[in-house]
Amino acid sequence: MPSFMLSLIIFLPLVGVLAIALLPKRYELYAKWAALVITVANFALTTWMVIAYGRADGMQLEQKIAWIPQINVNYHVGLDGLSFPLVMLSTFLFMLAVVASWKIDVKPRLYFSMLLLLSMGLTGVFAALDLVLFYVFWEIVLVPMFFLISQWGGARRRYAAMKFFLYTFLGSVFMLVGIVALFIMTGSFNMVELRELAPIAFAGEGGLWSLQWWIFLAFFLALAVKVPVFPLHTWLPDAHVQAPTAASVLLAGVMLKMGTYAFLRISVPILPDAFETWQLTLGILAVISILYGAIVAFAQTDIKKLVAYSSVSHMGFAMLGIAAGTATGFNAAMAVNISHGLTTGMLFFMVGMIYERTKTLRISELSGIAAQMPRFAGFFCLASFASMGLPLLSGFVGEFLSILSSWESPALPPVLTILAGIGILCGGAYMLWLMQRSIFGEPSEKVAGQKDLNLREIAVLAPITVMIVVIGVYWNTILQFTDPFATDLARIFGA
Amino acid sequence: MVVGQTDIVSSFLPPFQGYGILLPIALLLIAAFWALFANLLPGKDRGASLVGLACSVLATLCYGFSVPGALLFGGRYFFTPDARFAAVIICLLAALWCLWTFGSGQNGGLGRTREAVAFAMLSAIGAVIAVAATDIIVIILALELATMPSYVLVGYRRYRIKGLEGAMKYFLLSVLTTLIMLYGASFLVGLSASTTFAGLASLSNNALTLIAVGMVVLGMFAKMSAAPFHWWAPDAYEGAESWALSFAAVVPKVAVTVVLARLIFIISQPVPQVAEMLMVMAIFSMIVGSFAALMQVNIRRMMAYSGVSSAGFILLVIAMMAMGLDGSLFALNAAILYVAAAAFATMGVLFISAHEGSMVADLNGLSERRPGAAWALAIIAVSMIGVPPTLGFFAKLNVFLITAAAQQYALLVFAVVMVVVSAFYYIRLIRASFFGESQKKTTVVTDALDAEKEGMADSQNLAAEIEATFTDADIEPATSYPAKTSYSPCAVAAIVLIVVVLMAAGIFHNPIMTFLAGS
Repeated sequence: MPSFMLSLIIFLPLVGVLAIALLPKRYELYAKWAALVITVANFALTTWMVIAYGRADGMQLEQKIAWIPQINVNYHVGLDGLSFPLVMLSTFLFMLAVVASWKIDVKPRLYFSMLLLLSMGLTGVFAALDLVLFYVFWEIVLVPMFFLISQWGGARRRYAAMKFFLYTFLGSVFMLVGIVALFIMTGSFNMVELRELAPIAFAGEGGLWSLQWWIFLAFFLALAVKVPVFPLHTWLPDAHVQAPTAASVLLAGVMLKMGTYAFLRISVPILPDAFETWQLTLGILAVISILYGAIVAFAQTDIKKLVAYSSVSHMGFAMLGIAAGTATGFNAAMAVNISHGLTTGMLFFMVGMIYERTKTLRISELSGIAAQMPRFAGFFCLASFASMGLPLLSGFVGEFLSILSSWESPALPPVLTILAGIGILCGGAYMLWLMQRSIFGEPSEKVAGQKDLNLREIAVLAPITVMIVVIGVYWNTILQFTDPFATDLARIFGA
Repeated sequence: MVVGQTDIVSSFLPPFQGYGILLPIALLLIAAFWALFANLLPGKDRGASLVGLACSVLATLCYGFSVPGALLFGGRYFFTPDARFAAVIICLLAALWCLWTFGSGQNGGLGRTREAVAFAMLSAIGAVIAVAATDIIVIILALELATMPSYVLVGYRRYRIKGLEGAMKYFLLSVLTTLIMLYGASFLVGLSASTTFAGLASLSNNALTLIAVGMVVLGMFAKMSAAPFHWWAPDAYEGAESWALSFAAVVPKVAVTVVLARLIFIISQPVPQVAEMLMVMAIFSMIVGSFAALMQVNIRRMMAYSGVSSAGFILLVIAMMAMGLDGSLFALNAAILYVAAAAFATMGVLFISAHEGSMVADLNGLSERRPGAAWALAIIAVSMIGVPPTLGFFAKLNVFLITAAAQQYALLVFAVVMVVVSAFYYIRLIRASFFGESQKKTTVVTDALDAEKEGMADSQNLAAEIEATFTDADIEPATSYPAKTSYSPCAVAAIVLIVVVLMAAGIFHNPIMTFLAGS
């Protein structure tokens, strides 16, 4: 039954959506229980699956059923070292997001069904091995996120939701062009097969303006919007800031990873020649993202916006790792993915908790949290340290490997490494400055008299903290999955 | 004569052999006559709708379980798998429409509907004949039978001046283009010495043939409202009532699209130049349709331009087919699938518009007022945008696949950009129904102000702005009848069925494709 397992994990949330849809209005507050049961079950199943089948050598739990045989489209799912950690992260954060949304009482049925639908879409994206199926899940994700932002977001939620939808939709349709062009060239939508078929079809031609180069561009437009890479990041601050807490967490924690995941799953292995042509551009854009995100984060007066821009900066490290094109670089990208999912997810959770209490996100109105809410301050400092990339915490793994890979990569000039290093310094600086202004000092008017974290909130933060420390101390938690994949992928480039 | 051994319809009627496939036409004819004399028959208006519903459902089943391949009347009627698919779609649309009028007619608040049902049935007869006809004269007659009743449906309430104006515009332009089509057809008949497709396939390629073919397809462009022959559509649609339009705007278009695809499939072999003509029209229609729809504040005008844009995508596929693609039969099927996806979605939007009002701003607050309708509209809009896993996505995927297979990558990127442009106006429907505040509520001022600062005023302000800029201020808002009435159970069922069709046909796409390909 193992192949059936994965589909169960993907579609289990749909059962939850159905259960919630059948819930009468007067029992609508029970929707969260349904969502909790489903997400916990899903997480338990995923954990069991990773323990039982979590081997990194090749595809595990593969399932393939003909879907539209006329155009060779299959329902084809499976997991390997690249996707195991991401599915795990996704189900983990969804479970915590449900707990963190416990106090949602405006249209709870709709809220929790959208959350579950989002969970289905995201797990599907990471599991899909057929490009059409992948695109289907990729687009399904947009719809619940659109409603989550537009219905439960902040003051400018409608604007943010429209911008989010249209911006990412514009990117995605270009990916569809790329998918279609790949199919026409090779006759296959199978991501695994395409690794062999596509290089033959393109006969190694990946130079500037070649067809492969254009297809890479088409994918790049979709993926760079999601990551986000520097010039295409403008939807992110709006969406992150306006979204409700759980949606911000899932946007930053899981959805951004769709972009880097797809680079490693599709663009790099299927279009290796074009990737080599693109490498330097990707590296430069990654470094610009790192520095731009960090510098803009400095200037923020809104704590949520600061965390949002720090995401741009951190995801730049993942892109830098990918651009390096070495095994270390691919490992770095994956490590950044997971670590950023945990730390930024945690920071967004905490921003949400502080907002629930003080109803403000202005850093200047938040001083003295440590004196008033010591437990909160403790967790916040740990998350900030992890985000800065302090050794022994998860953030360090990815940033260190990313810098290392860009240094040793033959395709990237050393100046990029130096600039990225400056980016790490900036990251430390703005987080420390944030802590100085918000955590320490005399309690401000708004902070004074607020209660510290309750048990439910600690239950959300503690598991993330444990994971951050475990990954930081024992890097192999992630690398044992990603390394075989990364080594295999780097073999294409002779490294 | 190719007649399937397991043809269910024919097995009931052994003496008729392959001609049993004409039985559904007889069924629809019964419904049409019942409706014409409904005043004297039990049930009156609702009886007419009920008989129409029963006959269309039976006709759908007859077509659905029939075996394609019948070649009748000496090669003048070829019931191919794609014709069968189109016939099923047409009967299904007719059935949905009768279901809706059954719930809303007479005592349901809509008033007199019996003639509308009669006209709709006659139009459906024309459509099902046209999609299988392989004789140019039969095609023209059948298309006229399919479109004539829709002029009447557009101007169904004779006391509504705007409706009459729209009907008159539609009628005059349609008749003019039909005459051009007939004139071109007369040349074709003269040149090929035959009226059948077999004769057209043996035409010689010269200037006269090209002009004649151009005239014939021009008539069809006008009927499927491809730019620049689309001018009748926005006015006719705006003047019509949503419920009547939900048939008149949909079924004749399905018929003419299928006919055009089948005709080009044959005629592109002797006259390959037709491909370029189609391609130009496709590009033009996509641009005009997508950009003009952005400006519309009236749902029906928006749907008119959405139809122009759909015509563009369909013509793109047909143009690729005409270029002599390997899988040209796949392209033919893709065109039919696309028009089916657009037809169901258009009918759904117009049903909801019949209840909620004519303007996009009338949808404001729909998710509070009627969450079910708002969700149905959202799914329909999402399908029209082309978001998976709806039918609309697979329809667009096919278009892209075929364009790429023809190596027309520039056109492919262009089509994709047009999809994004179209997303802007379809999402306005979702925007209005989920974000738009209904008029009664005047709270949440800061919200609107903030949004306005960012250039994204809420849809009501946007509507007012656009209205002031692009239309005469004098035009009274054309409210459809009955505005904001409650949904009868049958209306709910019809809308739910449309949503189910759009979702299920996407998720379980294989059976649809298999049925369409007839394998």
